[in-house]
Amino acid sequence: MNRQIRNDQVDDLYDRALPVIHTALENHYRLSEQEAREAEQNLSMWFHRFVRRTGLSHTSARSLTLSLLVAACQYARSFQIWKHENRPTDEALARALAREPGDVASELAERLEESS
Amino acid sequence: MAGRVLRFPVKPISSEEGMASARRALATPIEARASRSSELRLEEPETLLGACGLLKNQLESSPDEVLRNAEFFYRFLEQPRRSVGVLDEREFFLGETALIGGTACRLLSRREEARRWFDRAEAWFRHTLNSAADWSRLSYQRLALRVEEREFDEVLELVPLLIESFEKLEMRDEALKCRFLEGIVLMEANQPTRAIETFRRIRAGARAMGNDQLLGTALTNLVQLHAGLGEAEEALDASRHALLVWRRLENRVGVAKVHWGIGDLLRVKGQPSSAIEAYRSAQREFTEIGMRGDVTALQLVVADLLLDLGEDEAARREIVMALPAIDEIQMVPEGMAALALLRESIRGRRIDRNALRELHGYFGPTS
Repeated sequence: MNRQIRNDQVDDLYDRALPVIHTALENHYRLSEQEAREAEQNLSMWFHRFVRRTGLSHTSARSLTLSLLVAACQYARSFQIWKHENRPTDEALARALAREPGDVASELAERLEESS
Repeated sequence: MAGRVLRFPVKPISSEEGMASARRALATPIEARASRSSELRLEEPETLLGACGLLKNQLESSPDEVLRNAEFFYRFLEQPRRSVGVLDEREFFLGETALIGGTACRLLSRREEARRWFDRAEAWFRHTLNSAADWSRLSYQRLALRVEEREFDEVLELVPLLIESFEKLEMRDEALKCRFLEGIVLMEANQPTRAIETFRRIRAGARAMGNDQLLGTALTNLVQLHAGLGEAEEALDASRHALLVWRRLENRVGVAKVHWGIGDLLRVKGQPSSAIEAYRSAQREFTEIGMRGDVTALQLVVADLLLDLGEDEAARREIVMALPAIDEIQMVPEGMAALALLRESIRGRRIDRNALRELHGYFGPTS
């Protein structure tokens, strides 16, 4: 696949998923606005590298988006576990951290599909 | 005073800068690399991504060099524990360099080492975000190793499962690569017509995907199969196309294997001297690349032809030269019996041709 097309496609996928990611980071994982922005920057760089890993050149947009959402949930979860030293005082956050990032990501992917 | 340790922000590099850093790193002698790690940007994921890509492209042409480099990157990332990228990137690059190292060992017929590297890759890929895809790539390499160890029943049982995994994961190139293993097993099981059908399908798939590496490998196997059947026109046609692809890719192993196929054709056509010339040409390439298994296999094939020519003493010398390498390469148990017979016959100065032929079957020219 042409490199430029792939880059454009990755930008497009990321931009479309961003509102859902942002909402999940702030509302579900309780990151502050600034923490969420930093996370999004890191996720964007990670995603652009991720799509260039071996074997992913023919992967569909749907699968790549799901990987991005899993990454976002895993990132936020690890960050909050580290920040609260695995003892969050907020009950809603504790419940969020108890869930598998993959499950949360699947729900986000459904929401994204419904909205598009 | 309590404080949070913040990582000082480093400006990330672009993919082009990463590729340039990777080239610089690989051009720097291994002993000098770690001490120049920050100048070479060795902890940058873009550099590592570029280096892995470059090493993978060189696997077939310089496996020994790739192994040294893969080991360097693996050790560099492993100890001391370095902060590389975000999320699973450190684990991914550790798994990837281990997988590259294992593949290089497999190509060099260093099978115990290959298994060790594959175990390392498995351990690191357990922590990657896309572990199903990474493990499937690893499974492919393990199956390729099993083909080389002639565990054909296991390969034929497991290949369809792996193809299914790759198809579910939308990894079309990898799914097609698995068909190679199937084709190679059919070749080895002496089913050339079915093998030709398989490789023709792979050739069509590779053309459709624009994957030159797979196309070249399919063509090379077609050369060998048609040559074995004495189908000169088809073999030469496939060899012309294969050589064009390999030269474009600068793949020396591919070129050497085509020469091997041409040697097979000349042998089948009853031209042993010309066949020996073609085999020698392939052998020179393999020697330069350090592929001992293939050099040894060709020594045995040449010895067989020399016997046809009545040059028993030259054949004996050829076998005697091959024996130390056969000892070094871990031979499968079935091959050991043939090896013992051959060794015994060499001592008695009357070469056991059945043992010789059985033995070169264990080093076949599988792509």
